[in-house]
Amino acid sequence: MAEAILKLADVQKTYTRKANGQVQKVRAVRHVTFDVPRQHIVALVGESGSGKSTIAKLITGVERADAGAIVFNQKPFGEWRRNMREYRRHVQMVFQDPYAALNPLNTVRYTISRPLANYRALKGSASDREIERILETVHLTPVKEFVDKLPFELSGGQLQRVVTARALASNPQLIVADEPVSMLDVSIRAEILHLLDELRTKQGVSLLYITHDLISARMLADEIVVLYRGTVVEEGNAQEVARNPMHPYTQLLLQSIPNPWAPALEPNVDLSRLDRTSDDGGCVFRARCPHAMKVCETAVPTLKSGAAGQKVACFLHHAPETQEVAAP
Amino acid sequence: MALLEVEHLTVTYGNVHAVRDVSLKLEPGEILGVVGESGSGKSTLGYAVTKLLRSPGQISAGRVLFEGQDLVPMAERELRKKRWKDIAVVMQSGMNALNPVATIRRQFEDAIMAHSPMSQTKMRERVAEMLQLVNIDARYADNYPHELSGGMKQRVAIALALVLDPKLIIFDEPTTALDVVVQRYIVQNLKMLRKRYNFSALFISHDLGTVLEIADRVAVMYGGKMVEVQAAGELLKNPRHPYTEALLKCFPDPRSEQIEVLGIPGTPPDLADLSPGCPFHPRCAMAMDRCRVETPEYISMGEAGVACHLAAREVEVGQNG
Repeated sequence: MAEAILKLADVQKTYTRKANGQVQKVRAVRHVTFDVPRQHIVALVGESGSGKSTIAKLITGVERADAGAIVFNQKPFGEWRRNMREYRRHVQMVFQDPYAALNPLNTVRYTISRPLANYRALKGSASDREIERILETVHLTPVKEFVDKLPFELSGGQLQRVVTARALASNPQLIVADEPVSMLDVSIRAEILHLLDELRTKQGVSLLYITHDLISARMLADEIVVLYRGTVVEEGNAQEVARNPMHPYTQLLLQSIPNPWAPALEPNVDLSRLDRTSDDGGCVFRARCPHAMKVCETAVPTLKSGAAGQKVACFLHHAPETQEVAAP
Repeated sequence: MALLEVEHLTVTYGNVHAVRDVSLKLEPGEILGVVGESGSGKSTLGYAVTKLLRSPGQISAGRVLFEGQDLVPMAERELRKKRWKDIAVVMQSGMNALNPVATIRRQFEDAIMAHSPMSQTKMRERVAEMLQLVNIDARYADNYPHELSGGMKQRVAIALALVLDPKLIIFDEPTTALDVVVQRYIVQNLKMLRKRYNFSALFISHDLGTVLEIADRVAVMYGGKMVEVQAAGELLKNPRHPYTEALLKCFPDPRSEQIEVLGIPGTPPDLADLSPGCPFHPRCAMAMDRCRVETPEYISMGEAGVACHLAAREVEVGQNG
C-alpha cells in the first residue's frame, strides 16, 4: 500500500456546552485512527452526529484535537501549526454548499486568483493562464464563457466546479471534501464525483471524501471508514465494506438505502431502537444493535482485522478476551 | 370520484412559469409520488394545491378540485377551515416548521382547538396517542422542539399533520434532511399509518428511490411539466420518458455487482424561457428535430401518461399492432 499522506492516530475531541445551567460534554470524536494513503480516495461515512465534520475541522486546523496525533507528510500537526500558511497550501477543502461557499460579489476569475496570488505569488497574465488551465481541469469550458461570471449566473453543479477549482489553485496534495455532492441534484452528482476521481488520477491529489452516502462512497473511494458516534466501527476496501459489511451499523446503513428493485427483500429493521443512545461505557452502538450481548455493555470493542479483510470493531467478530490489548 | 383533481394548472412567479399545464388525479387512499429535480415545479405544485403560494406566486390558469369543489376561487376563510382538517401539509425539513417557543403538546392542542375542540383530558389522550403512532414516548410532549433530534422533529411534524384525521396530506421532501436510517424508518412508518388511516397523499421528493418504495403511482416532473405518470412498479420496469429512464439510472441498486452512475449531462431549463419544444430536448440522448420545435402533448392513458414524441409513437404502435 502507498505511504500515508495523512495519518490520524487515536484522535479525540470533546466539546463542552451548557444546557440548563449544566455543563455537558459531547464526545464528538472518541478514538479515531485511520490513514489516507497517497493518491488514494478515502471515504469517511457516517450519519449526523458521527463526528465526520469535526474530523474535517481537526484536519484542516479549524479546531484543535484534545489528544492523539494528526500527521501530514510525516510531520506532526504541531509542527505545521507554526506555519499554517504552508499547511493550508497543501491541504484544501471543498465544502458542502456551493451557494454559500463563494462570495456572491466576486467573479470566478477573482475567486480563483486569490489563492494563486496568496500561495503561489502568481499575478497578471501568469495568473490568467493558470486560471484558464484550472478551469479546464474542472471542465468549466469554454473558459471564456465562465471566467467573468458571478455565482448567481451559474448552476449548482457549475458552482461546485468553481469551489473545486479554487481548492486546486494552490496545488494541494490533499483535498478534504465535506459532502461535496449532497446539495446537488442527483443528475449532476455523478459528474462531480467523476471530476474528483480525475483529480486523483490526473493531478495526483489525495482525497478524503466525507459523506453520509454509502453508495457514492463505494463508487468513488478506494477505502471506506465507517464512523458512528465518534468511533470507527469498520474500515477496509470500499467494495468489501459497502457490499459485505460486517459491523451491524454498516449493515443497517446498507439495508436502509431505498431498494425498490427488490421489494421482497425489504428489511424489517427493528427501528423502534432508533432514538436510543448508549454513552455509558461499552459499545457505542449497543442501544441500537439487534445483536447486543452482555459483553457489549461492559467492554469497548476495538478495531480488529475481520475475516473478509476489513477491520471491524464488534464482539460478534472477535472474542472480547483479546480486546484488552490496546489498538496499535 | 377522485379526491383531488388538478386540471391544466399553471403557476407563475412573475415571468417564471414554475408549473405549466399540469393535470393529475388522486383517488381516495392513494399515494401519488411527485419526483423532480430542483426547479422542476414539484414543490410549487404542492403549494398550489393547498393555495399556500407566496407572492408573487399565483395560479394563472387551471382548477384544483378537492372532492369536486374548486379551491382556486375559494375565499381564504373557507380555505382555512379545510386546511389541516381536510388537507394537511408536512413541510420540507418539517423539523423547522415547528414553533420553537411552544411545547410539542401545545402545538397539537392549537390545531385541535382551532378545528375540533375537545376536553383537556381527551386532548391529553389524543396527543399521547399521536406521538405513539410515530414511536415517540409521550413524555416528550412537554419538551420544546430544540430538545428533540431532527428525526424526532420530523416525526412530530407527521403526527401533527395526522391529528385531525385529514383526507389528504401533502408531503414536501419529508425525508430529505434526514439520515438514511431515519428515512427508512419514516417510510416504514408512513406505510403503516396509511393502512390504518387510509389518507391520500402527494409525496413530493427528489429521491426517486424513496418515492418508488412508498408511492402507488409516480408522477415525474421536468421544467414545470408533467412528463410521465405510471404505477410505481411499471415506472421502474418500463419507463416511457427518456428523462425518467435517465433519472432511474442515477439511483443504482445498492446490491448490484457493478455500480456505474452516469448522471444526466447538461443543466435544467430556464423557466422564464417559453420557447416551444420539449423542455428536456437539450439533455435528451434521443432528441429528434421535432422535439426542438414542437412541445409534446401529455397523452393520458387512464392511470398513466407521458409527454414525449418518441414515446407517443411507441404507444401508438403498441395500440395498433
